[in-house]
Amino acid sequence: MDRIEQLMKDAKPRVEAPGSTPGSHAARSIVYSTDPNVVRLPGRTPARLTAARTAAATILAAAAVVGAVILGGNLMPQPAPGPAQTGSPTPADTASPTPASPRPSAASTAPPTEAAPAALSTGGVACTPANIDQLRNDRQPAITPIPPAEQGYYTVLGCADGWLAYSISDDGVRALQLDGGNAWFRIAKLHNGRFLWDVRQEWASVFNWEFQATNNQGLTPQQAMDKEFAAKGIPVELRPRLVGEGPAAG
Amino acid sequence: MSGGNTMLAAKEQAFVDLHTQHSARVYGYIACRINDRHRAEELAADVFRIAWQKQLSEPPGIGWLLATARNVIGNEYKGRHRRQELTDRLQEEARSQTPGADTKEQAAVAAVLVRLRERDREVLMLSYWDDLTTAELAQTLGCSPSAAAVRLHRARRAFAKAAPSHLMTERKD
Repeated sequence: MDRIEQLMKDAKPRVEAPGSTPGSHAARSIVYSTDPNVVRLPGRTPARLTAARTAAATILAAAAVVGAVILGGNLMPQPAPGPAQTGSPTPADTASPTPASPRPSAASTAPPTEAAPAALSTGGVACTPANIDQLRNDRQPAITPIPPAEQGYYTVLGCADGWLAYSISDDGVRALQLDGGNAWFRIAKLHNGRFLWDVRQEWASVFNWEFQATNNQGLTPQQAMDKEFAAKGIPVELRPRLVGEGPAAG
Repeated sequence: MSGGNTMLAAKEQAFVDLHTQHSARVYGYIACRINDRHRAEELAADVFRIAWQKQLSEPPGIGWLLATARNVIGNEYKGRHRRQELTDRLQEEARSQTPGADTKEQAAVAAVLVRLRERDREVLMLSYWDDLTTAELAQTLGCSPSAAAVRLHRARRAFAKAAPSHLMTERKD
């Protein structure tokens, strides 16, 4: 062991085992056990080890949401298996978004921030991956546009009042070696005629609908999304136009 | 219907196995970096919720889980807030220990760490606090093993450059 390794290992904070915080796992279990949509799996008892209970509670909640996602009819489209097409329909544009329905036509005289059938725009700038710059900080401290060859991995979800929400497909994060859960929508802001996604900013990412639906605070997905918007300084009133309405109530 | 239950049960077991195998390390990763133990537990649970929802074809390794944990922390704490959380965590650690030569050295290491660029700091912490192999480090960072080794080398060089000379000299007890 060399000196740097020794110094680092000696400086490592001591970490107590998780689960010693009173009530944390019990609270989570209680929230999900009172959900009428939760299906109890055989063999699970409340007396199980805390870790297994947490895991099971997570599974039960997630399974219930997966069921709702499959059955619900008013949902955001899930990322396509392959690279997403640019300019694809974004549910934030429609009054009742469904994965397969075409976007309704809108008058060309609609306000710039309103949905248009062919292209979204805000502040006179088209809301497309081609107009998004990214500051990734760790790996690429410079501000760089999304390369044309990579734009297919990104889907614009909606834009309004200088804000833009977009997602990257699971294939995209793998191809770009960014994989780390991909549970977020990215938020960019109009800056000097282009949208800038700045990873350093509070508002740069919010959990996606899939993840908001499994919040352990007893909130609806919409409430959870609005709460995160508010916490990060993103105008809550823009939420439907940026990321849509989310999954139907289960 | 029974086939569906069997499939869910198998997935559940695989998930529980994943949780059993890696939850301590995921929690440890987060708890070393933020100064709120309750929140660390919640964020660790978020990592596994994401793992479940992603329905990956193969159970993810520790590298994927820690990359996700890093993103979860990043979603929670941005930029300087992340560094402040680490600073608070290390200061809390120092306060909890009996003052002595060891604690002075640890405080000095903490001071060096928070001065480093985040990418160098993270590589050092992953390597020496989270005990990742080069392959696991590569998976967490999303790069090749050789690139991960290079990043560790650069991070060590940055640490040596930032550290006061007396810190780099081994104590003779």
